[in-house]
Amino acid sequence: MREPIESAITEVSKVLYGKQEQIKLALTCIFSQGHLLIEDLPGMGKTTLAHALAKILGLDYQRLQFTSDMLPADILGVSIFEPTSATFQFHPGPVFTQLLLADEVNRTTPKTQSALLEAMEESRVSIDGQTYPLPQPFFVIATQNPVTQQGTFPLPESQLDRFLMRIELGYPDDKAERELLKGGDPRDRLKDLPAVISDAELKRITAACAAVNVSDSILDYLQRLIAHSRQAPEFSFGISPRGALALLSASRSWAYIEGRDYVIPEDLQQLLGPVTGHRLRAAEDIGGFGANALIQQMLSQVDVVA
Amino acid sequence: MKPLFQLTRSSMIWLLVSILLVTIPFISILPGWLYLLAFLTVGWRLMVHSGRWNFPHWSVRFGLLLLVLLGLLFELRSGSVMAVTVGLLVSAFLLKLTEMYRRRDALVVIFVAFLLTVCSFLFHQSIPMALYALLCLIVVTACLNTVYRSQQNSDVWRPLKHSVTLYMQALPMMLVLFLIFPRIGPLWQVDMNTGQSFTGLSDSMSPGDVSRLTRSAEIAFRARFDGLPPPENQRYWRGLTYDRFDGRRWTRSELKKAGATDSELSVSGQKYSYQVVMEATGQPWRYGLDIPMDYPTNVRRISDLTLVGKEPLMQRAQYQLVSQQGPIKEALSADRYSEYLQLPQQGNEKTRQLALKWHSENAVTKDFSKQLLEFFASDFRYTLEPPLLLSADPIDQLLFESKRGFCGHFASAAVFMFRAAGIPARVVGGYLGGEMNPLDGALTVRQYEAHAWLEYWDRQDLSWHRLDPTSVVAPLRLEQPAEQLFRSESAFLADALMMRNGFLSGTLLKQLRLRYEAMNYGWHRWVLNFHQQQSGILQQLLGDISVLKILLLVLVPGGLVLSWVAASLLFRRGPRKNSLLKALERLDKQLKPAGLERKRGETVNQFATRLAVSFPPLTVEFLDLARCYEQISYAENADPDLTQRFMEIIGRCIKVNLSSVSSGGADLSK
Repeated sequence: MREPIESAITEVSKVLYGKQEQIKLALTCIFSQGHLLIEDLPGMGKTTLAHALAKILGLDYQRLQFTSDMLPADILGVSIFEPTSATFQFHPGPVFTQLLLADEVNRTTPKTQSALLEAMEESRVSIDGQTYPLPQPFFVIATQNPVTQQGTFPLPESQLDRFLMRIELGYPDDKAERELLKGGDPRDRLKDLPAVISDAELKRITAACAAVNVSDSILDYLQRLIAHSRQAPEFSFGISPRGALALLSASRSWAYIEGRDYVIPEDLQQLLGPVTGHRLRAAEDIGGFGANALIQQMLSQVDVVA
Repeated sequence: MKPLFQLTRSSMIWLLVSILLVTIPFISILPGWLYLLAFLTVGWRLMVHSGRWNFPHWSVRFGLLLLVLLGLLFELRSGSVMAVTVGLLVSAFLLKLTEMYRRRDALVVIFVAFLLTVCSFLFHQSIPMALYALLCLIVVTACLNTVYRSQQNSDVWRPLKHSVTLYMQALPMMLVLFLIFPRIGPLWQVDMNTGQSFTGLSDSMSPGDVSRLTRSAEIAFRARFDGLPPPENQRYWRGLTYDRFDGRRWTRSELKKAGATDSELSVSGQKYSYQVVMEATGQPWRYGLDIPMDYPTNVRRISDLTLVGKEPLMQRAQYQLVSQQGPIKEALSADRYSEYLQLPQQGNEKTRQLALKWHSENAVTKDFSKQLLEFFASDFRYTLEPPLLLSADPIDQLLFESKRGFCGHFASAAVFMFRAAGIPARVVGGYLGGEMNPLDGALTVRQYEAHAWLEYWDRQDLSWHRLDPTSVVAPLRLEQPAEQLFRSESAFLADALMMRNGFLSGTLLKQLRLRYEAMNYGWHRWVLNFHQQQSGILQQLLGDISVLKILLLVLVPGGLVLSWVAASLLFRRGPRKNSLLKALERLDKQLKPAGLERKRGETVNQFATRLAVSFPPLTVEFLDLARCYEQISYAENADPDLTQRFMEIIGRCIKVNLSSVSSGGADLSK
């Protein structure tokens, strides 16, 4: 594993015990310049992870707690009349930052959720006919509670699609839990986390990730996976071209983190769940819970080498 | 469970139309109750389609099947085998409707519909039938098309358009096949006697029989002359001769039936060369103008000048003849001389006495015949409905009491008189006349032109002479078309009322009818009997022709093309496998018995790691193998030597693996 990345993971692990895998996935997402959605029950450390990532990347960040009475202006900003200059002055909202922590994004109404759309896709905000660019880089790390929780508005597919990855944290294992219980609240240590990866470093890593080699064999495998997802009756729809591109780009970053300059099938297998789990839907999944179980099945049915 | 296959609406419509079209040609052949079955099954299927009923329970279907089989067995006792066979096919076709659950079942119905279309040619081969069959094919193909269409409510007419396009495209191919495909005789002969009765002359004749033929307007045969046809009053078409009389009926003597050979004879008249297309008669003899002199090899002329084929004529046939007209010079043997004098021992005494009286008055046979004609010319009347001659001496009754009769009566009476006077004579049955079709120059001879006349043997010039008493009783019969002569008689064309009422003899309609007949004649000559011309065309193409040659010509290239297609289908594979994959597959083969082969979805890394656990001594090799594979397949600019190395390791693994697997798993348990 590469040096600054390894230390980044070590640092984050100090506040989020036993979740190296998820931390690596989160970094993969950022190196692929994608937005990350963390979904889990309350109290599993979602916000901690998001905070820790912002800290070690040394990014300018804003945290935004979504509530059911929130309006788009609360995210994007608002133009206010200045009596002194007799003009409208734009007051940027919390979205104008490098890393936006959108906490509990599915607690707010679809109207407010969609205010994030343009920002996530185009990295800019349009208000009152004016377009304001967002600072670069711009990442959204959103957390959400599972849709089974009360008071949630499920994100529509169009918005889910804008997240490169959706990851789940899960309960810590025994060892991590013991450590957690002994060590006191890890969030107290958040403010002490150093910025391990600088802005320039991040740019360099991002460029290096994009240059990771993808051979024809890998593309063959990817296409077999896509074709299977589109043909298999257990999915109501298959992987979209955007999903395929996302998978490829994430696999490159993962390979880079692993210290390789080429993608191997294991990378695709590792990332298929996080990248396509929220994009695919099982044919019998009325509630929109995703298709994680089916994705594992799919992996066992598609030839890696053929 | 998969949902039941549901025919789309347009499929259903087309299927019903197909069933209707395909079964119509069999209406006259099939027993009527089959149509009851058709209503039942089609109706039931419609109810199923609309969702109101269920498919019949298997017991109902089985019961129906039993009933149908019993019904057909019953029909077999009265009807012909062919009709029952077709009936079986049709009923199976209809019954299949009640168990059409899947697309496959619908396909069975459709393919049987194709088969039935072909079967209808067993019974009819006319132009309308061919056009009708084409229509059937188009509709059934449209139906086939709809079965493969998934769209629920697509345009109902579109399949038909597709189908028509398809047939238009297939037409050139059809023509080519028509021209070159060899007509190979059937492998076995089916008795085509479909129970239908043929109209025409039979091998026995009572005087009233000929008039019965005038009830029918069916075509007996058509003839086309190479030159000018004979004048109307000379168009005597010989069918067959009758020489044995039992007092009521004329029959052919056993001697001739046994096949007496041709005797030497010569005729000195004009020669006519012509082609005949004769309708099926179910009888062995063929029709020809007066005295056939030249005839095809599959026909022979027996001593009474009748043309006899080898087999009864069950299908329309075409043949070429050369005929002459005039007295027939023939030296009559004693046997046959007495044969032609045969008469019942007694009866018709008055006639016999009159004949003997005339004979004593006229020493010359010619004068005798002249006197006979004068007698008939006196006050006899020609009618289709003569009074029934029921007395013990019918000829006496005809000649001296009723004096009314048809050609058969007069010919029969005249022969009786000749024989009574000791002059050999015979009745000739055939046709007189024929309608000239100006469009193609063919003469059409119909059943109502059936005629009977006689021939007597003149010992003065040793020749047979034709004599037609009808020519003096009703001279118009020779001059006019029969239809005009008989129009006023109610018995004439009683079976063909349209024709009789002049419906088809009006000017315009007559034109149409003539055109249709000309077309039909061409159809028979050029399409149905094409094999004659075909052999000519093929001979030019291939030289000396044989069925084997044609078969080879068609089958060898066809077989090659088909086997190429089959091979390409059989050996079709995905993308070409590279050498690495092939090597991996070799390894897999070795591992398969132990159940350790590469699983789907397993990367080479995972595979190698798993093998390393199973075969600890080879751990290094396997991990190296995975590393090589990874480098070669995925990395940029991989070292070309790696492939070589990969192959080596695989080879080593295979060898070692073999022994470790065969050594009973001792290594595995370590």
